[in-house]
Amino acid sequence: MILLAIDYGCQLNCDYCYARGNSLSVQPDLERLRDVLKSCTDEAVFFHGLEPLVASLSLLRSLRDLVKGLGKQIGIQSNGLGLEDPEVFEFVLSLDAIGISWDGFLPGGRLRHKTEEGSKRVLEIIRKLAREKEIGVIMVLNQFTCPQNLKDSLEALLEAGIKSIRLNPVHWPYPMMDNERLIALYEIAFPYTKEATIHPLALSAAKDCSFSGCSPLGTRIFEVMLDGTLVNCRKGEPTLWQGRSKFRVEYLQNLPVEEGGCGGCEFWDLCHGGCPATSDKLYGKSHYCQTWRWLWGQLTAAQK
Amino acid sequence: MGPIDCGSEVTLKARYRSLLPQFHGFLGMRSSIEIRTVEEGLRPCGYSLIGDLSLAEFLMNLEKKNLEYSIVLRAKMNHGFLHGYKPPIPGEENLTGVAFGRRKDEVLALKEAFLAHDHIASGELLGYPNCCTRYFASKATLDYTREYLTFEVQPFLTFSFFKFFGAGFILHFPCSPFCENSIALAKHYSELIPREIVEFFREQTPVRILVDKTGVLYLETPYIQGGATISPGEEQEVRIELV
Repeated sequence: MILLAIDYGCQLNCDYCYARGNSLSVQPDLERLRDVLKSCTDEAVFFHGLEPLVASLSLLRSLRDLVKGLGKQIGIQSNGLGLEDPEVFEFVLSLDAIGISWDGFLPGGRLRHKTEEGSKRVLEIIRKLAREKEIGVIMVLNQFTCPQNLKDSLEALLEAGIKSIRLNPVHWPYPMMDNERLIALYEIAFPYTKEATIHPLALSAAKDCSFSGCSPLGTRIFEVMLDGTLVNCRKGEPTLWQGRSKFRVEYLQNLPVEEGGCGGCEFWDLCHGGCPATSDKLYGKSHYCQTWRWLWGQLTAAQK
Repeated sequence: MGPIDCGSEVTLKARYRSLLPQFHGFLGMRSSIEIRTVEEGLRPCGYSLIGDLSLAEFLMNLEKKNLEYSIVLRAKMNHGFLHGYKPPIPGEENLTGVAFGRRKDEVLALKEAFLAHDHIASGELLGYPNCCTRYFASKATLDYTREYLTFEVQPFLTFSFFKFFGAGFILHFPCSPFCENSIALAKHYSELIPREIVEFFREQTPVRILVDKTGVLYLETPYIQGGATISPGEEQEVRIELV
């Protein structure tokens, strides 16, 4: 999967957004972009941001047609706010995959949709989209996530017919969440996995980018800017893409668990040390190691 | 050809993407110097460690330049700690050590010296300054890469930390960043490198280096950042100005 960085800003300014402050705004060069996308073997391209729907519809339509013309799938990850415009709504429905980022019924202030009213507006958009097409929703978990709010939010999504949900722990700003707190929230979400696929609470999460064995300077998921320049995932420094490095993976494998690595860990094949952006050290394993070990333990036991 | 060092990675910061051609040239400096200095008779032999995917192209390049070569060793491709060579793994990309030169007898002599760990003879065939060869031979069991961290101002011509990423003007470990023989050699070799790449190298200052206790070296300049594995030891952080 390739992320197409459409960086014309965002209506929101969430303090934990990893793209915020890493803006890669450039003049589009669609000819070069086509050549770069053509040379990539990935079959799916996702409009990504900051918030892609801030861009003009004519540009978005050109990009969609460009990607479809190459025989690739095109999707979008959006905060949903732009979809209140019927023309934008219709455009989004024309895409192959739709993901909406929603924080649920969470207290405002530092959060994505800022107010309860904002959260309800986006939930309404999610309901409307779900009546037309199967969509996915990403919710972030952070230090403000309350158990009751999480339950209410998951129930609202299930009631809207959402079958694919992600519960991603935020990794910015520091400090990251306590593992005990994150485990407690995942425990609350577990019963809902009977009704929907909730990542990472399924073994298929091992295919997620977080567990794909990235190196901070050579990530597995990369972004292409509108002028065709390839850059790494912006969860780290937005360095120019240099390939899919095995450097961190071999480093972690060589370093025993007791010395802070993953050497000898029974869940290595599922986890690969987690996302490097959630590590305190450049080549370290994820800060959420305790949570992932708990999670893989639960999932593999359930499978047996 | 890209960098041949293993266990390292480096990238240009996205906001300097207009410098991408210079960056690629920077990563290929050592490979380019390694071959051109032999080709032009500035030293008898060269030695390169090449990954399987680049090996055919590398050997064809030597043949095109009428250089003799001999395979010295085969080893496992290592992206992590490279402390000694591990046996190659069938079916995976491995590393090949290639000695090359203008004369077959000198190439074979280098191979023999290399396999016998005869640093003095190897250094002579590779054209390294005697003072540096003797220094290396006397300290080969020590990690003296860390010794260079004690110099907070270093001549850019002998700056050794970019070698992990394929960049540098000299191919040997200098006995000191201020070694006059090494500086003279680097000056000579720098004439083989396009001016804009030499300037790009010179502009990488200040260099921030952090080595953690597990032996991961993290290097950052205003333009690039990278990581490499050296040997474990004490945690160190230093800022080096290149002059």
